[in-house]
Amino acid sequence: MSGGIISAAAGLPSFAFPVNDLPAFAEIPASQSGLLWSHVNGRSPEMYLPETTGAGCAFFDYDNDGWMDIYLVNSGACDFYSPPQPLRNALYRNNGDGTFTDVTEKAGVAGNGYGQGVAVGDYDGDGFPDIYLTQYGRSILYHNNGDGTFADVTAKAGVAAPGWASSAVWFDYDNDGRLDLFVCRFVDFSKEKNKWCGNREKNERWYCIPRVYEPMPCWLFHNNGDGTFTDVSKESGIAESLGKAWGVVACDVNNDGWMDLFVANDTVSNFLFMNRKGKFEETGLLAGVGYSAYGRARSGMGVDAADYDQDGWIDLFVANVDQEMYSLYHNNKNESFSDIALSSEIGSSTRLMSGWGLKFFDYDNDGDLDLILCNGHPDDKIDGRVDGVKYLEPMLLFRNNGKGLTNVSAQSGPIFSRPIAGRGMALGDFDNDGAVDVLVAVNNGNPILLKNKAAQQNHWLGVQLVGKKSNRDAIGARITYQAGDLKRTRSKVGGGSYLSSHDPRMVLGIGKRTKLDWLEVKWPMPSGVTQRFTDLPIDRYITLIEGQDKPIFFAK
Amino acid sequence: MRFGRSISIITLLIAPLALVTLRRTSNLAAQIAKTDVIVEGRITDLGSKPIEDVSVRLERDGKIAQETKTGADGQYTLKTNAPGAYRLRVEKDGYSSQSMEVMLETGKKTAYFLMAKLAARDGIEFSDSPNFTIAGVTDWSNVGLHGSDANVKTSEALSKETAALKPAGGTNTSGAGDAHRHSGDEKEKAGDPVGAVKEYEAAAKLDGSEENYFAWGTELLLHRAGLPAVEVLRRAAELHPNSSRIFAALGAAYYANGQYAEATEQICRASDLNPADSQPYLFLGKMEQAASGISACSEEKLARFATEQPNNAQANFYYGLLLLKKARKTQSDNNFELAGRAFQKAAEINPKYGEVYVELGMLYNARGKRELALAEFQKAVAASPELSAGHYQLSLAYRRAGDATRADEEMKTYNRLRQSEEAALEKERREMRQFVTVLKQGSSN
Repeated sequence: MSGGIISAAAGLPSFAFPVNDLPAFAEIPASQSGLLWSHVNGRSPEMYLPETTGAGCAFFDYDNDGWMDIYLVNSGACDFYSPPQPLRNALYRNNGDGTFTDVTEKAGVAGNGYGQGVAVGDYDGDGFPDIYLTQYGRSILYHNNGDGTFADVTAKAGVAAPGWASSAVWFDYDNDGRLDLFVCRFVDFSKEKNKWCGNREKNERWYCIPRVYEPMPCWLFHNNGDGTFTDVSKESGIAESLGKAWGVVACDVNNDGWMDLFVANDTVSNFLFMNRKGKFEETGLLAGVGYSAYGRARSGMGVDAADYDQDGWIDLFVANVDQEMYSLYHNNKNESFSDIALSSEIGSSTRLMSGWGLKFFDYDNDGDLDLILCNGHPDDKIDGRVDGVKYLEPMLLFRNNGKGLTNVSAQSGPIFSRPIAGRGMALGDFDNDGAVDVLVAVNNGNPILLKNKAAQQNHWLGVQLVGKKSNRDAIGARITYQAGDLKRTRSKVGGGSYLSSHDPRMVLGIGKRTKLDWLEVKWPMPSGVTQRFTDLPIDRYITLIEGQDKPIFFAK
Repeated sequence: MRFGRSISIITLLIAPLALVTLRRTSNLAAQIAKTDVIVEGRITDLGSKPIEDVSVRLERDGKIAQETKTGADGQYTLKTNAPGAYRLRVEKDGYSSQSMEVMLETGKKTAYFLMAKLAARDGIEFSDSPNFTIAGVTDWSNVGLHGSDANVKTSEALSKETAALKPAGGTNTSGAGDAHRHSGDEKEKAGDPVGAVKEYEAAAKLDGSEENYFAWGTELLLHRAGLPAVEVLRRAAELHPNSSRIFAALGAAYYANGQYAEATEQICRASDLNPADSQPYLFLGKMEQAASGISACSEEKLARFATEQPNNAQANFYYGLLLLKKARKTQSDNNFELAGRAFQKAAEINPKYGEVYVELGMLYNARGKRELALAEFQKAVAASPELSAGHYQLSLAYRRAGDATRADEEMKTYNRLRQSEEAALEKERREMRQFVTVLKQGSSN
């Protein structure tokens, strides 16, 4: 389908798309998937700021049956909101046939407040992924009992994080092989502190810009290995930085084997917490990822990290609000970055947009990392106030053609012309066909499930990594693989996107090539061991367990 | 276009405490506790005669929080110690009742002086009256525009510079409205913008000259009454279609309202009316600098600017910005080349033009020419040591080049400059008195 193609930037090679009439992403209606649930934001005339944030979602396999289940976060009762009807989160079990069943009540993960985000991680290493649910006011740690149910162990664990928690990420910050927990904190807010913002001239009220609220420090919890955590925010140096944090991704930006954190802040400089062997040094400003090109703070929300240009160094991405442009920070290899958004279509495509959930992934399995984003303005009264800026905005898809990222949204499916109030976004292969699908959480609306049809012509290998000496989820691992003339490296980062959690498996695309020559896994510290695998299958999922020579194949 | 008609008009004036104590000697100041909010004022009729026995109430949640009646001099005083949103209601039999939502805060402002003018209910029709009245002034806070500060700063700069525009043919009017206009000038200088705008309005009513309309429209614009500014200046543009500065002011007013496309159109017109005048071009340049897209007429005018004034550094700079924007969109080598040349020309003409070196540096970065970029940023801070963006980019360039010490130094300087910039901006904003406008019933927004 070639109608309406945005012309590629002059100077870049033209590209032939696979000939097929199907859109790259097709929306699966709720009637088909069974995801009959809606987010409710409690929109009120007082315009409490949390009403703008939407919530997150997750793809994860809670019952270990090999099929990705879905978790959706809802708002709920809090100091400023008493829902007229009870609200709850939703856990949907994947039936393996493209449909889902609501098992929330049985599982016991309904949440109990104004929910924000979800971070999935197997913190106790028992093989069953656990849920950390962030909420405005007080967050919850749900331990997976392994029998389809969860238990609220927050008090015992000591990870309540009282305050406005937003995105969270599981990662091993002190390289002791256990997943620790970093929780972003947004502003100092409460019902009493809610301000009146708007145009006094017209006596017209609208949502405040976070600039008018006070910044707060984020939390870092150390996993003690016995079901409890210690709040090490101060000792680790994290609490020295006051921010208004929305998104976080854990990755190793200087290749020293210690996991760093990139945190998007709203109207405050973004943070780059460099991990100095277990203590953090905040260098966002100096590293060039804090501000805009002119040295101004922007409203950062969604983030991700990936080596999109395959030079061996992880690059960073952050989405901002209208008039600010999103940023693609290319790693200069010396703990500094250069924003190249302006030199690519990222800049021009995002000038008037506000971005939330996003992720680098290979959507067509050709081996190159592409980028998908969901957008929407935070203020539902923005229409008509600023030229060209609307509350509802369409999603964006950028394809990596080997030289850069080009905007291919227009030819990738009708969803990309549908303006929505996009917020959380999780990526996952819900039908196990090797084409990574997309789940979008919509503010005050139904979630959107997109089936990926773009990768059908290309081959792939799906890998689930299980750490033994290193953390169970192998956050921080690096996979390098070769298929003929294609050699690629993928890092397993922790978290990313906005308030959401992705399918933990890594899908490695090899394009039209039919053989994978070898694959290496560099396990993260404290292991640091590299294992090489050959004689690998393609077009299926396998499990690689640290220390074991033979991959485990999933039954297809 | 005639202004709409309306029967009832209310004018509420709110002035900060300072103004009150200037006008009256009272020991009110001594009686005010830190947590009190005082609302006081005077109710008159449309002829400014005080009305006695008017009921003045502060309402909240459907209940009356405080109420009182005016005395023979039309004065009233209300006191409350609960800040927040209230509805102020003013009514008396035989007069149109009016109400207005007010936000009462303790701490910053401890007293409000509200005046109201009531229309007798047997109705007086006004023709040629605008669809709004200025209801008072308030602090410039919680600025509405989201997104980057760039548009807000550009808007503020445009408004200020617009007000300073001189008429093309020089001041040649002497008309019936002169006394009012001069009085308006005095009042604005004395810090009474509400009084000033009333004078300008009166002047324009007596004599709809270009001078009077321009003064009225720019006063509204200066005090962030965007909608009334547009209304007045649109009328002015109809009456004076050859006045370049009126169109420029109208453009600035549209810009203040976030209507960037209309703004550009009007300023392009202003430029066409007086192509020898640099001001409209400079406005267009500033707007393009803050804008996302490239507007067709801007491109044409800025190209003309550079062609007609090839030895004007700013002309070359803004044209270069436009070309750079195009270059980024198309990734065309040629456009980058042209943009670079325009910047270089600007720098040759004015070697102290710091902004040019910053843009040139960023252009080199976009082309991967790191060393050239660093050199430009060094020139930027040498040429304009007060330009924070130069230090910021230079810091990043040093870090990229591995010179951490210099990078840290430059970032320190940047932080210091930013702090004073922010403080100055905040101070200016706090002192800015924004008009509170009441739109008439039935008038369309």
